[in-house]
Amino acid sequence: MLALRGITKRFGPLTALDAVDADFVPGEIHAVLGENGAGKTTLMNILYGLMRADAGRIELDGRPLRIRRPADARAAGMGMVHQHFMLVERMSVAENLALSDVGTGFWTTPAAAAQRTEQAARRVGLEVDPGRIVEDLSAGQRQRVEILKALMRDVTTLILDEPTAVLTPGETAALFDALRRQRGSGGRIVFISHKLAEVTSLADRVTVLRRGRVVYTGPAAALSAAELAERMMGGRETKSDVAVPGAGRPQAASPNPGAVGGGDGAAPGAAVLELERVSTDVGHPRLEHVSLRVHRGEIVGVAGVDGNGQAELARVALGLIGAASGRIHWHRRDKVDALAGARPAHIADDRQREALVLPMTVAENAVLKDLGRRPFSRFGWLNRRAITSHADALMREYDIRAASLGVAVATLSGGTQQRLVVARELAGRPALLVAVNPTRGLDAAASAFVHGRLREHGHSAGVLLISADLDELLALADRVAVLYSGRLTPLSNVPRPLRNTERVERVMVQIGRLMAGLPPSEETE
Amino acid sequence: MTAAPTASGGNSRLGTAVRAARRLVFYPAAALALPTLSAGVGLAVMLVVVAALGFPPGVVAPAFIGAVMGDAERLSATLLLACPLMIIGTGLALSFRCGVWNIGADGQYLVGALAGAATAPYVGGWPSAAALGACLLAGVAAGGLWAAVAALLQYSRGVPDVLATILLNFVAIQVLSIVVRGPLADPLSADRDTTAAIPAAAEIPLLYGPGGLHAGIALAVFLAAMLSVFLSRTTWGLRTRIVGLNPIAARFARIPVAAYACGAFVASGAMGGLAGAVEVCGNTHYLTGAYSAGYGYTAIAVALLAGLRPLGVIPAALFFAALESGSRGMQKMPQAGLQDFPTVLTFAAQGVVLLVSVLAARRALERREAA
Amino acid sequence: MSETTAGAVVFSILWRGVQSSVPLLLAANGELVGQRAGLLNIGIEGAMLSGACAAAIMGWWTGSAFLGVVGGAAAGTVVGAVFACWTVIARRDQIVAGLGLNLLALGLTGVAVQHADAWAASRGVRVLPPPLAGSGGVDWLLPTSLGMIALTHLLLGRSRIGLALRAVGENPAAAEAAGVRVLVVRTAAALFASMMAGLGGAYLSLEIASGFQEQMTAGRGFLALSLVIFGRWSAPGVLAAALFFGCLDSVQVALQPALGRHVHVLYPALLALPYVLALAALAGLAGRVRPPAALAVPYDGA
Repeated sequence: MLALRGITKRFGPLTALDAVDADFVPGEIHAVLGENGAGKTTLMNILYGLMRADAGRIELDGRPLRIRRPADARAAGMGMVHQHFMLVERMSVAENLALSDVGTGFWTTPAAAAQRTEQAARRVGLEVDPGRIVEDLSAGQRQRVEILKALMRDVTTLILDEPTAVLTPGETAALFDALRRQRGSGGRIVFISHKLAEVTSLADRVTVLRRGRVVYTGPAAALSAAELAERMMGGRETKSDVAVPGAGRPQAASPNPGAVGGGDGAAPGAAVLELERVSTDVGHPRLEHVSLRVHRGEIVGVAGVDGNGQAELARVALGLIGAASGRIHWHRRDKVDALAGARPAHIADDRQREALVLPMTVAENAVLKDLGRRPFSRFGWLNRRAITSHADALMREYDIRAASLGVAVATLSGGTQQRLVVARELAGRPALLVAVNPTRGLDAAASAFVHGRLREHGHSAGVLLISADLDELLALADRVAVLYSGRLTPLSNVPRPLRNTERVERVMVQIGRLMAGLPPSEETE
Repeated sequence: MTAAPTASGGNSRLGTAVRAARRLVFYPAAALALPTLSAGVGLAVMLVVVAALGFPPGVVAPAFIGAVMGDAERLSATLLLACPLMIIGTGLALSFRCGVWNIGADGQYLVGALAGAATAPYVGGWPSAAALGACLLAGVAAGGLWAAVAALLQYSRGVPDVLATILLNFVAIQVLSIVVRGPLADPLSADRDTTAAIPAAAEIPLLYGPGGLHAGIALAVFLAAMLSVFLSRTTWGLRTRIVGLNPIAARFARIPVAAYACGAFVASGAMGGLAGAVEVCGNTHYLTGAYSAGYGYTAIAVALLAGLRPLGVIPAALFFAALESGSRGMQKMPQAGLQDFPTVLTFAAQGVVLLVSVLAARRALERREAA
Repeated sequence: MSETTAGAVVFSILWRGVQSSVPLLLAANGELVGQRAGLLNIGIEGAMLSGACAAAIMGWWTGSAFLGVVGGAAAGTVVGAVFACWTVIARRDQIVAGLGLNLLALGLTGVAVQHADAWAASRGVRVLPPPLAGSGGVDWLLPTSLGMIALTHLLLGRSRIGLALRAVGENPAAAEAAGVRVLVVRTAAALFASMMAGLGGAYLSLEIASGFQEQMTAGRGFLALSLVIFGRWSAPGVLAAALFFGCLDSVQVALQPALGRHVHVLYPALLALPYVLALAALAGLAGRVRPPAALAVPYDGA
């Protein structure tokens, strides 16, 4: 038995893990469940040697285990499939596998490495092409390489960190089958997730983490999904009128009666964004003949696994990159606003890279995109008072908690940072809002805030919501399309109300097929 | 959701007062602590090496101080040295803040000096202000152009700025040599390695005659102050800082990153060129083939010691000028045995200052922004 | 000119060219390994200078060219150790650390050469023996440098060490997760790179120049940096580039007597030629080749 006892980890004043205990038994799939920020990944990083705990110990069959770096964890029979793949993009599959394969000799040739890869692939039951460069692989293929990398050696404990985040529903099912096979041969499997439905369908035992503490550990079957959700959220109001990511799956507890989609079925207004067979010649992958229209008053959702052109689509919609062919048209408002006016707003995927300048102050970040405009600057001179008063107003209206306007944004929490971004982007009442994975990495409360604002904004403007989270899309969007390899499928309506689970399930299956690049099945929707 | 307690004390009135006090007292202290430490360590290393070479520290220290500012002439010499360091350093502070690694200040300085010396003969008949202005402008243009070559190489062909600017330095040395021994050569000089003296109209007015201290130092201080205002109070300055801190977010904020970076690149080159022209017109009044004294590299140390703050460039330039002028002046000191004082050691001190600055800088920079 | 003497002239130019390329080759070899591990070491110039100075002093002091070379390598390694401390262990900016090291080396070697004789005399060592150039004392560095680059090529492409090194330069996090000790690999790469630069400097002062002068490397270290890019971060490319620039150097030296009246223009132009060519080569190629993905990025890992 692999045991964690009293694991504690602090990052400055923040306690990420507080005396966590967990047991991992052979022949069992053990899920670690918790919302974003609960400490699951930190716990696994400590187990695998990527971080060191401040207190606590790890024991294997009663004997203490000293893990200071991944090499030690691997020596103890652990293999890890990371949430963000740890692959060297420019090397081939075989080379990536050879990197972690200590059994080979000092000298390797490409042919020998390919052979070892094929042997291992056959043994484990996964299909990979040893010669291909990782850069060219899809997310699902890359994950297969990650899994193979972990299983290639004799691994007694397999750790998977949010493995389904980048998989289509079909690939998820295949993964679960592979994991059940692994369990059957006596391995320990540790499965980290924030998705309730997956945990209930796959796991034997569950440990629920909330804010760094263990709030439940025991058989998965002993609690209902609703009870698990409650443990995860801590008895907070789940009766909000937004869908909590992961907890709103049709098969599980039915969504609250109050939940409605965006747009309310009211007739949408004029188009604010039009893409007509747009192709780009930059990006990886490039967009090809994408056609799309976003009207005022509606939320258009774009589903798809990361890496299929989402970033390129966002940039095109924002006007940051041009179309090599095809037409893009933004329809401006009739009255130009004092502030943002007609520029499209952007809620970024990676806010620390794309939306904020971390070392700069809250006030400076609050006006980041409107520097040249009149209240904030005149003839090139910054009007500090106007900037501070605007930032102050934003803080109050959106309830952004920071020590002062002069602190660096880097000191704020992820949720607070996203609030600031949302506040800034929505302040000018833009006609078009482009949101890309807006709740990634946020806890439930912050996600609820963002969803609420998106929905609110969806009434008066057009929203393009690009997300890898199907629950989010189905909860918010009026129409949905799927992005695959740079191509966009035609839009289809999201059936409302969401309670009609059979129809929703059919839509989900279609979307799942499209996300995997398969043609839709004959039952049209 | 309650906000996590921050180190800044929260929103209470007491917290506000504490923060205000901190900003008033601690921020200046914190801003000074790191440069003082770096400068101190550099100085200490120099003293240690000097002592190891056999110069008694008890003699060296007072002699050094005397060499730096013992009398008006020594002080003039020190300030004269500070002038180019300050101008180049200001330009480098700008380019580094924008994320551009301009290591080519030495070459930009040389071509600026060259342009100034080349223009001077043609404007001898002009009124003084116009003649001087023309020469300085020529220096600005030459330095800016030299930097523009590197900028072009980087933004259109992907050559890293570090490499392009360093390689261009070595090219500039040879260009200087070609021109000084060729078209500009003074037929009267023995080895054909110097130009003729520049006409009096193009000379920079003196502030203190006997020491040769010219008004360029005032220009240098003025430029540093201007850049400080530019960076902190203007829109373009703020955009420049954004580009330096996070070019990706800058792009999403629709700031033309390449334009700002090129602008900072060329502007810093222009300042390097200006420094060269100022040296020729104010200090030496002629040009030699071996003009370079490594000011371009020393100025990098100046900019970093200043924490990339333009106002900090002023004391930082003075510090390095003092080191250099002190070393050079040791020979003239009355104390015995100082003839062979190793002037080249100042480079070592500069290197130590750079190393110490970069070692402690990262943490200090983060704290400053959060204060 | 008869055929034999023309041939002899060409041969001697080429031979000189190969000799001139040795310092470049050694330094570029080291820098190649360093850059493939993700380290951009501008301080290579300082390492070369230190190696040249240490080799000259050691060689003169002991009378043995071999010990001179050892001294040069040791000096280079010390510079590499400082670089490793700053950039790998303390994870500070690599460019500034390199610049600082260059300045430090410039100052310390200048002092050393000014005071070497005085210091040696005070310790009872006799007056310096004649220079060692052409004495065959360091001839062996030439084949050694060729062997090293071949070995580097072999190890980079076909050994586990090479694989680990390349992974560290592309994605250190992935390498660490695969069990590679990134800090160890990078430190070793830094030490190796600077040691090789020191060896290059030793060859420069002991064989080519027969002495040490202040700032004698004159930018060769930076040229070596460009060679790594010019050679597309591959060992054969680096070898070809080093030989090319070495021959360029030797041609320039051979042409000097023939410059005639325009010597004051042509001579500096010839001196500038290597740098101009390096710039042109970089401009021509740089857009199309990709450096190691983690080059000059500090690794904040375990």
